[in-house]
Amino acid sequence: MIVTDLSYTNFMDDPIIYDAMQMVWYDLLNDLALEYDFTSKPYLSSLLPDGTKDRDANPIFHTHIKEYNRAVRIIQIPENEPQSTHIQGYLNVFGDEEYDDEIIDELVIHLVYSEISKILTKSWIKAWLVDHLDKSEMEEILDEQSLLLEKE
Amino acid sequence: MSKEDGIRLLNELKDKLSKKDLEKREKLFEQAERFVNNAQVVQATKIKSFADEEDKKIRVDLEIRAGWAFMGLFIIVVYMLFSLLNHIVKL
Repeated sequence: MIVTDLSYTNFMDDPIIYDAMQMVWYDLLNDLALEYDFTSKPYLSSLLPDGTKDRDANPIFHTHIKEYNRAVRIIQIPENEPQSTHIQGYLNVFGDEEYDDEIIDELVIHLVYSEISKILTKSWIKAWLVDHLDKSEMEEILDEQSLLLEKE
Repeated sequence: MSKEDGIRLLNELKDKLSKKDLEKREKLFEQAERFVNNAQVVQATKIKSFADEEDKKIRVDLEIRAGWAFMGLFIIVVYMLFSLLNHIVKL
């Protein structure tokens, strides 16, 4: 799906734009999955209790590779909210060893949509899901590149 | 777990934080409390992250587990002190 003329600033106000925006992230993942031959699945519910789609963008995208027990969760922020950083990533552990059968290592990315945040997101997802960087290497990259953007 | 239980857990967590850490997260806890108060019955796995505007690592995560009555609510405040220290050092 090609989205070129949509205004991403109001993606939270219009379900059609929201869904198109969401497809940008699914397309990005699908491109990577095809190129590097992996499969992944959503691991969170995207539905509200009444069965309608949850469109709060927290997260707007999530996927999990069971084989490696690694996941990616993207939280998209509307552009009109004051932000000093346009993209920031960090690692999180979803679950608790004491209570849960499975804990998931997550790459969490908060971003305002832009071409540069899209490129960086793709690079981070590749590093995490394809290149399988260990946590310390990944955190180093996330810290360095998030800060780099912050200074721009 | 009722909404009241969720709010109680949030308050218990707040009590465990230092004054400085709590100040950083006061607004985030308010957002998390609003989410819990507005939530209906949830029987699905969800995560909601309420993050600081300037540093997303400062956050309150609500982890909602599938199959719990109201919410399998694990409330995690991630201190990320090590990362924050790194962040500060790099700045």
